[in-house]
Amino acid sequence: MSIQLQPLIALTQPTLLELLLQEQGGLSAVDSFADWHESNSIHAATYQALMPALALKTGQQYAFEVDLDACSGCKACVVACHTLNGLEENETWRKVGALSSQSITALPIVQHVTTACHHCVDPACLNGCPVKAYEKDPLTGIVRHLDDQCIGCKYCTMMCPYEVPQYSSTLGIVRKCDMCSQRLGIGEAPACVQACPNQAIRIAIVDVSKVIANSTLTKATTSLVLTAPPSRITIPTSSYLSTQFGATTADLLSSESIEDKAHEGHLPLVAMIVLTQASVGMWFVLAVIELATAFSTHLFAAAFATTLGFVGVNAALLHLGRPWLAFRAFLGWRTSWLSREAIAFGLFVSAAMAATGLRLILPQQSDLHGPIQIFVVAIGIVAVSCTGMIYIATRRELWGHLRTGVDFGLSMIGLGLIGAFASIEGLPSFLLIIGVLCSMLAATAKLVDYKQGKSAKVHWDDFSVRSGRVLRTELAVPWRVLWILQVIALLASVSVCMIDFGNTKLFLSYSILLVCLLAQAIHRWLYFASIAYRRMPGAST
Amino acid sequence: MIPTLSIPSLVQKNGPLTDQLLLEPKTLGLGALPIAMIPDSTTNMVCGYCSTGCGLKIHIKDGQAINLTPTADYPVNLGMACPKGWEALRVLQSDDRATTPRIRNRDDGSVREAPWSEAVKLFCDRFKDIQAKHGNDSVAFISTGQIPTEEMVFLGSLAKFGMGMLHGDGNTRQCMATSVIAYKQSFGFDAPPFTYSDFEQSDALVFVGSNPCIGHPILWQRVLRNKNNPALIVADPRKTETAMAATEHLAIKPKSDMSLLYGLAKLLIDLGAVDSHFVQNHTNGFEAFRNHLQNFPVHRVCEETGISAEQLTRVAKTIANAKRASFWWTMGVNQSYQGVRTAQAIINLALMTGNIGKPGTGANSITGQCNAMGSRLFSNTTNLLGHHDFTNPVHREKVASVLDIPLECIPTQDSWAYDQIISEIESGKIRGLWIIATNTAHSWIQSTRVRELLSKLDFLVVQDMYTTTHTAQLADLLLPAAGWGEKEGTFINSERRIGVIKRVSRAPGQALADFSIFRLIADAWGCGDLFSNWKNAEDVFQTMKELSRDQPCDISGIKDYSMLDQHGGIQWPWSLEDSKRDVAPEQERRLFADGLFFHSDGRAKFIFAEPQPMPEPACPEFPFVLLTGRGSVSQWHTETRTSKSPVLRSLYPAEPYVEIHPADAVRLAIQAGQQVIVRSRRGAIVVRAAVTSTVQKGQLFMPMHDAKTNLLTLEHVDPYSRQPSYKDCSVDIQPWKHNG
Repeated sequence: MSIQLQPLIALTQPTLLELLLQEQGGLSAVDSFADWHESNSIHAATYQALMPALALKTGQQYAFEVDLDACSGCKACVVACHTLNGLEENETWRKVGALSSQSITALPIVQHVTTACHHCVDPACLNGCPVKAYEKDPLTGIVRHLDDQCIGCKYCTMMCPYEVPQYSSTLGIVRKCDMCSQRLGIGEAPACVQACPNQAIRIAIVDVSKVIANSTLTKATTSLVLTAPPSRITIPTSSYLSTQFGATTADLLSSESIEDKAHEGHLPLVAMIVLTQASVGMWFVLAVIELATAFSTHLFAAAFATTLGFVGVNAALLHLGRPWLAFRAFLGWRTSWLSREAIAFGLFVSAAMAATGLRLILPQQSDLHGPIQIFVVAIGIVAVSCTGMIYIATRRELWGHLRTGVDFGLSMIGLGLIGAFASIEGLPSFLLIIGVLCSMLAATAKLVDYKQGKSAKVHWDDFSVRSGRVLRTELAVPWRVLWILQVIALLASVSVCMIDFGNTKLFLSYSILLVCLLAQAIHRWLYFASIAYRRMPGAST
Repeated sequence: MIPTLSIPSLVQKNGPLTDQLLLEPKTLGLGALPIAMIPDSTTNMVCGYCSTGCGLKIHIKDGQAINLTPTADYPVNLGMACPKGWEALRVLQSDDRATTPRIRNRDDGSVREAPWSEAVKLFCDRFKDIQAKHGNDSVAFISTGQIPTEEMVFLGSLAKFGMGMLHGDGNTRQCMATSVIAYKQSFGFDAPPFTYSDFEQSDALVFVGSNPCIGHPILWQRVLRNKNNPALIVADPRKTETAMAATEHLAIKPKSDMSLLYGLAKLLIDLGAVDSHFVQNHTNGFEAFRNHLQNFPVHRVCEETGISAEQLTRVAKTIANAKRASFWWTMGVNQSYQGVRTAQAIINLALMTGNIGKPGTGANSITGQCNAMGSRLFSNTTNLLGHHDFTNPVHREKVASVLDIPLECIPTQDSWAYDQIISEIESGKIRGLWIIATNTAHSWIQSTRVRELLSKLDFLVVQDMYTTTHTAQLADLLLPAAGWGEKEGTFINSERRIGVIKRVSRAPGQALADFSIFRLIADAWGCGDLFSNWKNAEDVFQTMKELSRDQPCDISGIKDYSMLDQHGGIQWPWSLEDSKRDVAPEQERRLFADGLFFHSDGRAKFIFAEPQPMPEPACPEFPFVLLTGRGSVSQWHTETRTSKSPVLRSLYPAEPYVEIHPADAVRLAIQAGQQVIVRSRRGAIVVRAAVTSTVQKGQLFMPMHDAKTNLLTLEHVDPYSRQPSYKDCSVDIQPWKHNG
């Protein structure tokens, strides 16, 4: 065979390799095998028993009912929900957690707990939503999320004690389980129900009045399963049945109760809270100074405070998945503290800008300044209080009234004093020290947590200890940086008070303000990141 | 999301985001599906993970698989699947798929991509060179339970008949070898006798070293479908999910199962529960067994197992009173240094009580991998094709004639087992190794040693779907393989059911079905003519039928793949004679209904031995016994596939962990979630502590899925099955303090 012939052969006769690669590229299954079109293969028969046999009556709704004895923890429900609903790659509306015995003397037990939306009687997601993107179906009781209405503020992810709504950064909205209402509408079982090999999940009809009674009339800590959030918060309709959960099993714990990890720090919210608090605080201090003393109006300080507030309010937009729809945020004002906050800060910034503008136009005319200034301060304090209520409303103990109230109040006053000291010439230096101290003291509760976190023994519902442990481990670095900044600010403010720095005093004052703003930012970030609270088993998966 | 150009409205209840989740009701006999995922046709195939062998309905659009749902009318899974099955297609899409052959430069460790032609030439040149210098048997292969039987047949034939290798084994050595030998010795053939409906028909189910809730969740479904309110007896040192569901949990000490089983056997005799008629007519060796049992009085058994006399007696009575008792075992028995005799202690219980061959009975080994059963019959490793014997001239002639190859091609000696192949790398007798679809460097016991030995080889070829497995990273040559869903063939499941897999997805780049790789190599090696009849998997299936003829696993009556497809899989045996009866094969069939076993005299044997202590018990320096096993349903073995699915990843802990009893944790000041250091005589690893009383005091448990676990384990094997004993070595645990 001559050499010249080789390419010709290659052209006409594919090599074995080429044949095999070609074959690999083909997909034979459908051609070679009979289609299974004809077979009636939906396994309705297997799940018929898991569906309600009767129609809903007034005062009733649909609910998930879980037979814990039958659940073996295979988690097929999670993946079936993901697949059959066409969810995003990481998105699962159902989760499975586990409770297991931790005490030395307890019987060995592991109990898996499957959980999705509990279609609550009083849904916190719906109440917290600033744009009314949730509906509770009056007939079925299913709590539906209106995806196109959602602006992606994520507040529902904090409001729901069960952490059901989940935010998608690609979609810019949250989504959640709707009990496969489209399937229910055509007589098909929800994905999780039809996929459970052990028939552990069913759709039950419940009497709403009974659910309310069960959730609220008994102990304050009555919950769906051990360690879950108290049912009185939202009155969830799901029920968990078990023959094994007796008195002996009271010490079952989920990993959510004992292994805390840092949570999301919400940087845009941190910026928003710190800057708006500084702004309102400065306006407050400004008002006190101007109304109580013979000082003239301070245009620069007002402009500075207003700018901080303006930047802060707009920083909140960065938190939204779909910021161009932020104008919807007032819709939920009847129930949502977030709506109220948005309205209040909208008014605050507008009023502050008006007040500043007035000073520019009428620097000497003081009759008008007083009332508008009082309005700015009043609405500002209302707005900061709304911010506080946003977190208080989640009913997480570490975000309670006292902690959040003291924290936010001191932060506001502290930053206000420091900001005023920097931007108004001639204020007494002790105001700066008081400001720095207030700003520091705002972190008192966290300091308590940190101290508690040293305790070797952790009871799962001692949230202070749990939070402190996260501060001591995962968050140790920001925690240290926070206190280094606080101490620097304190030392600097004391030295400003004691030493005459001459011309550099102004520079020093602004530096202290910057350090304190930074410290506050870290403090606020830790407020979010070091939170510990009652969690549904499976919530962290 | 890009904002729409129209002015956004204040209230928008519907729109593009809502539409994303719209479902289209009932198409193609399926339930409602997302509108973006509506198939134009479907086809059915079996799952490629475990031996349950679930049917999966593949949704196809434009010829390509887009989704799947479990097949509702498949007799195995009845419309259910575990998370692995649901996500089976997803794991095919991954950045670390091998898309072209890769050659590693030994000098600088760099890896370069190479064309197939160069790869195949290198493969042949290097192996031929080693064989020329050190003998044909200096090159060996390690096969798998994860590829279709047809590919196993081709691989085994190519390696042994074509390339002249003598030694080849499979990763099935790690999971099923014990059952194979136990059945072979007791029944005369490797014949798991049961069918899945036995789970539903039993009055008492005894699980030994078996956690189907986690290991075989879809089989657990069958247990829960049992309407007899059965007794569920679970022997396991851990309080597993299955033990939780049991009516009786025998929380025995590790490796005390043989004593337990002998103790029960003795009590059954004392209770008069022996089926004398069956024992007399269908078994051998019962008298000797009865004498042996005299050494297992209750007090000895209680002392060795740690369970109470009351519980032992109660369990014996439950078994004695059950009309239909069935006995099931998995890795707790198989992965033991005395696994064969332990499995036979289970078999003995079934034989002596006549619980075999009838619905709801049997001594039943639940298999591990999707095609371990195919490997047991057709891998041509330690058995000659079709579960024949290399040392038997009649068998060799049969195989030579079926394959139409010269008789001299067939080795007359048995192969070394996996552990021996690995060990002989050390002695220099094995110098070239070809590893197919398994992750030796992670999964083989005491892996520090294994990795060291693999790097000592003159030439290591790894054939795998992924470039990132621990073993692939050691390879001198990596051959890119297509996976399940990208090729054709058949699997045999736990209950002997043969099911079809199909090509429904395109393999990435130049990855080829293992079958095609074998064809390429045969051609390049110069032995392609030997296998010229095998153009595709179904050609090999026809050969398999002939090979199986007159064996207990006779499948000569199965016409072709479409017949398997139409009948929802067919259990072996289905001989030509069966097929002539002109009835469709029944969907659930069990063996030994006639009481005839496969020994030449038709009788089963009672085989037994004295229990041995574990070679590395807990001691003051290493005071804990380390148990290993499956971590969660969503993880498969070394996780080369399951870790590629984001959803599966979300279903198990992200970091490796060790389970420890609260009392031990308190004593050692170990807090839940804290990092701990676990040391054995072979290595030390840092993992997180999971505190739970489901493990007993003095014991630790670690899942096998993380490669760290096998850095601790001790290589020791069952002397008959040579299966490694993964679940007993001694370790120490302490809180981990990193640099202050």
